[in-house]
Amino acid sequence: MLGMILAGGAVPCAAATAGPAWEVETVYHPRLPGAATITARWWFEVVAREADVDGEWWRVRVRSHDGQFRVEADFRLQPDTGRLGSVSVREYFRDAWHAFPVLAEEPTDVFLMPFGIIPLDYVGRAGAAGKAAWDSRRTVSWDAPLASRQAVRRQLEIAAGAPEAVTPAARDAGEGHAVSTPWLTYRITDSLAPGDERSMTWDRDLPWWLECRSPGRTSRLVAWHPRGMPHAE
Amino acid sequence: MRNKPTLTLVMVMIGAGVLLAGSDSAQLPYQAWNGHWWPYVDAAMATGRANKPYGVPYTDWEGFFAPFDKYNLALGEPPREDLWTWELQYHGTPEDPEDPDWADWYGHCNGWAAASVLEAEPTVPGEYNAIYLRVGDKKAFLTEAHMGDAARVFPENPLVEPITPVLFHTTLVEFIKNPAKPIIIETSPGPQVWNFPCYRYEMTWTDVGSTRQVTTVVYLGRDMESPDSTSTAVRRNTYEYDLEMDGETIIGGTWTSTSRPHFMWEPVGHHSANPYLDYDKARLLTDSVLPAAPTDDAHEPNDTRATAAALGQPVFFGRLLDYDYFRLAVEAGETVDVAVHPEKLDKAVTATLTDSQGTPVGTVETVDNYRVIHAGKQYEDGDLYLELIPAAPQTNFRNYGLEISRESLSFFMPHLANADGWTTRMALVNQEADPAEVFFHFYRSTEGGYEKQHFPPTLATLEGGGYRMGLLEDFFPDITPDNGRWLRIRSDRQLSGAFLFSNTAFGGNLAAVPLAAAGARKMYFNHLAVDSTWWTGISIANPDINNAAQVSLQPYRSDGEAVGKPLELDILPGCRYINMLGTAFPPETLAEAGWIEIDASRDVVGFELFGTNDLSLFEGVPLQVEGQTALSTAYIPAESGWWTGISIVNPDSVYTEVRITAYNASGINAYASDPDFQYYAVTLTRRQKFVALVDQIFSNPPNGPIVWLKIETVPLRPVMGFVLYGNFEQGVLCGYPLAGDRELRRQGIVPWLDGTRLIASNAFGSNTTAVTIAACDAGGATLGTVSSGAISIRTIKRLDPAELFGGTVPAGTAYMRWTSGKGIHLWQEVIQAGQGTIVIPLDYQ
Repeated sequence: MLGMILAGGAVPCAAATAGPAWEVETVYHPRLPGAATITARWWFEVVAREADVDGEWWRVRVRSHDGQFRVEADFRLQPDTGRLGSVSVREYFRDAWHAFPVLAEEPTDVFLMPFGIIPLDYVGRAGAAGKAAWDSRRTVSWDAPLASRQAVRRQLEIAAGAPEAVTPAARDAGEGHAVSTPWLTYRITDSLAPGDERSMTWDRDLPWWLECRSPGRTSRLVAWHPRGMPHAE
Repeated sequence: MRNKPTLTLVMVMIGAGVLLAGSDSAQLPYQAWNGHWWPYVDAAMATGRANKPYGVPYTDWEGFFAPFDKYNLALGEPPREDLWTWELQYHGTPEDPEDPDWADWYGHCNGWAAASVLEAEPTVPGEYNAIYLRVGDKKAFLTEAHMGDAARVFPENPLVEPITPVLFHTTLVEFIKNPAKPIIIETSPGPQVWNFPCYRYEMTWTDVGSTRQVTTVVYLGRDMESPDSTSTAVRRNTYEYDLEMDGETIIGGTWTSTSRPHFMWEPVGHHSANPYLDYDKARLLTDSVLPAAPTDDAHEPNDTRATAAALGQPVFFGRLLDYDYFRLAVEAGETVDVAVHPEKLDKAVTATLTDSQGTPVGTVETVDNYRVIHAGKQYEDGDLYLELIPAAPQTNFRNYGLEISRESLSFFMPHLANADGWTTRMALVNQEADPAEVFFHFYRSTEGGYEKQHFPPTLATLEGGGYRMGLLEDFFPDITPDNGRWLRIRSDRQLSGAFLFSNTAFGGNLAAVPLAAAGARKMYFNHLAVDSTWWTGISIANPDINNAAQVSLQPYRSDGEAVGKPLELDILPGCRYINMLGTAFPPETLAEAGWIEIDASRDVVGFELFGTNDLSLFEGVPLQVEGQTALSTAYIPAESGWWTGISIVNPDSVYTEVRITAYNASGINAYASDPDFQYYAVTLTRRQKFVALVDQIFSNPPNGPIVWLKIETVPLRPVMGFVLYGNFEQGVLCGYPLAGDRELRRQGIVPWLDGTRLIASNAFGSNTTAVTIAACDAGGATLGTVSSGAISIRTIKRLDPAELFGGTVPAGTAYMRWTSGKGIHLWQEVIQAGQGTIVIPLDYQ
C-alpha cells in the first residue's frame, strides 16, 4: 500500500507523495536551567499540488522524522512566488490531539510561527531577484488581532544581505541531495521581541530556506528530495 | 471546546472627561494540576525525603519508600543503579550554604510546570507488579519525565532582556485565549527561577488618553502542595502595566507594578533530564490503578525456608499476604545489615534473620518506625535467611521494604596464572595504620555462572602499614594449578598491591599489573598488537555477583572511525571474559584497529597482556579509565639498542591539539635553542589516536639527549596515553600508562626485586624535592635509609638503590618505603637478564 501513517495516527493517511520533500534538522538550544539540547528532524512532504489563478500551490505536511515529537503541521506553499498560507498545527498532549489553526487569512510571504516546535518561520525570497536584493531593507507592519477589538502592532525589519556561512549537512538522507549553496540571508527583527533576531538563509533555487536561526534554535535543511520521500510499498 | 471571548467595554462618565474601561478574560478547558517542586536539597525522588519546609505542613513524605525505587522495582529493573545514582548526583545537592553552586531554591519546578499542562493529572493511587504507587509517586515520574523539555521561550533571550509588557500581554492572549494553549510563566525576574503553569487570566483596564492602564491577574498552578495533593487551590499573580494605544491597537508599553514576570515559555517536547527514566515506562506506572485486592509480590512463592527467594539487590518492596522467606548470600569480609520497614502495613510482622540452620543471628535495633538487624562482619561465605511472619495477612495495598547494606572494600585482580609454567607473585600493602583483616575470594567462570573457590590463606590480618609479597603458593599452600581464576580481596582497610606474572619456560619474562581498587564502566586500551609476531590478550571480570554486565568492545581506527562490529559480551555475575584479540575479532578488523573502547552496563575490571608469540617479550598494563589534560612519561632510555614508543588517544568527541615537549636531564627543553621548533604538535579530533617512536618525532635534539616527555592539550581536553619501550636484543619490553596529576604521590612502597631502578620524576613540581628511600625487612623494620639527592623541577632521576646503598642493598631487604617532600611520580623499573617490566608503586598513606 502506498502512503504513510502519520505519527500517532490521528490524521487519516495521506496520498502518495505528490511532489518534492525535504528534511530539516533543528537543534533546540537549552533556554531553561537544566534543560538539554534537543535535536529533531522534520519531514516536509508535498502531499498534493493544486493550481489556481495565482499559479501552482503545494500542500505540505510536516511531521517528526522518527515520531519523537507528536506534533504535525499542514500548510500551503506557492513555490514560484514564495508565499505561504493555511497553516494549521496538531499537537498531542493530555492524552489527546489538539488542533490549532494558525494562519487562515490570505497567503503571505512573511510568516513567523507564533508557538510550537515545528520550524515554520518563513520570509519568502521570491522578490529578491538579483544581487541588488542583497542590500535591500524593508519594513513589514500589520495589526495582529488579539481579542475581539484589540490588536497589537507588529513591525518586522527585514534586511537582506550576503549569505552567512551555513554549515552543510554532513550527509544527505537516502536519495536526498545535500544542499549547501547559500545565496541570500535575511535578518529579521520583530518589534515584539527586538532581542530575538532571526536570520534566514536561502538557496537561489530551492523554494524553502537552507537555514533559519534564532537565539533558541537553529534549523537547517539537510536533504532535498526532488521526487519526494522514498516510501516502502 | 474553545473558550469564548468575554471582552466587555463600558463607557463610564467621570467628571468632565470620558474614561473608557474594559476587561478581557480567558480560561483553558482544564486547570494545570498542582504538585510538588521536589527541591534538590531533598533529592526526594531518590530518597523519599520531603523535608524542605516552604510552608508544606509535613516533615517526611514517604521516607524509605522513594519514587525511583518504586519505578525500578515495579518495572523489574535493578534498583539503586543508574536512575538513582544520576538523580542523587545531578538533582540531589546536599544543603551546603558555603558552596557557591548550591542554592536552596533549586528544584523541579520546570518539570512539574510542563507536566502539569501536558499530562492529565494522576488522581488515584495505582499498583504495578505489586508495587504500590501513590499519586505523589506518579506526579514525581511525570515531573522528571518533563524536566528536560524543550521550550519555546518568550523572549528567547530572557537573560539579556526580560519580557516586555506588550509581549507578555500578547503572548498571554495568543495562547490562553486564541488557540487555547497553556503557557508557563517564570515569575522571578531575579536569579531565582520559579515556574508556574498558567491556564486562565483576567484583565481589566482603564484608558487615560492613549494610555491603557492594565491590571492582569494570571491563574497559576501551585507547586508547594504535598506530593499527593489533588487540590484545586489556585495561585494568583497580579501584574500591572501601561499599554500605549493607537485606537485599539497596542503600540508600546511599560511595567508599572514592581511585580513582573521574567519570561514565558511553552514546553514543546517531553524530554527527561534524567536519562534513565523512560517516558513510556513511566506512563505504564502513572496509568495504573488499584486492583480489587492487593496482589502478592514478584518473589512468590517464598513461603518456606526451602523456597526462600534469593535477595541480591540492595532494596526490595514486597507484600505480606503470607510468610515470606529470603536468602542472602554473603561473602566473608562483608559487614551485613538488614533494615526491615513494616511501617506501611496494616498488620504486625515479626522479622528474624537466621543462619542456614535457623538459628537467629545479629542484633536488632529499632530506629523510628522500622528495624535494623545487624548481622555484623561475616567470616565465612554462606547464606543468611530472613523470615517475615505476619500476624495476619495484610489487607491494605502498601508494601513492606527491605534494605540490605553490605559494607566492605573490594580490590580486584582480574587474572591469576599458576599452571603451565606460569607463576603469579602478589605484593600487598595495608595502607592504613590499623590492622586489616583480609578475605580472599577466588572466582572461576563456569557455564551458567561462577564457581567460588576457597584456599586457606596464610595471611588473615595484615598489620597497620604492613607488607607481604610472595607466590600464590606462599599465600595459599593448598592452591591448585589453574590459569582460569580471578581474585577479589575484601577488607575494611585500604589496600594496595601488585601482581607479577612470569613464565620460566620463556626466559622468566615479567609482567606487572596493579591491584585494582575500583571498576569502571568506560575503559580503553590503546595498544593493539596482533600479527604474525605479536599477540594481545584481555581479561575483563564482572565483580558483581548478583547482576550480569553487558560489555561492548568497539575497535576504532587511528583516524577515529569505528572499524568492524563491536564485540558484545554478556558477562554473567562473578564471571570473567578472557581471550586473545586475534580470536575475539576478525583479522580484517584488527588489521585496521588502533584502539578499543569498552562500554559496560556496570563496573567491570580488566587489563591487557601482550607479547611476542615466542614469549621472548611480554608485558601487562591495566586498562585505562579516564584521561587527563597534562601527562608525562617516565625515563626515556637513550642508550643504543633501546627504543621508546608513545601512543595517545583522544576518547572525547571534541578536538584538541596535543603538544609533546621533550626535556633533557637538566629539565630544559631539548629544543630550547631551536628557534623553529619547541614542541611536537598533533591535532586529535574525535576518537583519534596518535602513535610514534620518540626518535621519529624528536630527531637530533640540539639540547639533548631527551630524558622525558611532557604531554599537554590545548584546549584543555583529557587524553590518555601509553608508553612502550624496550630492547629487542636484550629481550626487554616495558609498558606503562602516562601519568598526570592523579598519580602524584608523596610516599609509596616498592617491592624489592633484583634489577630494580626507581624512576623519580619531579616533572609536575614547582620546587626541588628529594626522595628518601628506606630499605625494610619483611617485618617492616628499617634496615637503612638513603636519599636520592636533589631532584629539580622538570627533571627525572633514574636511581639504582644498590648504588645508593653503597653497592648492595641491606641484607634482608623485602621492600622499600619511599617518601618525598613534594608530590612526584615514581615508577619501579625492573630489568633483569632477558626480562623487564614496570611496576606501578603501591600506595601507602
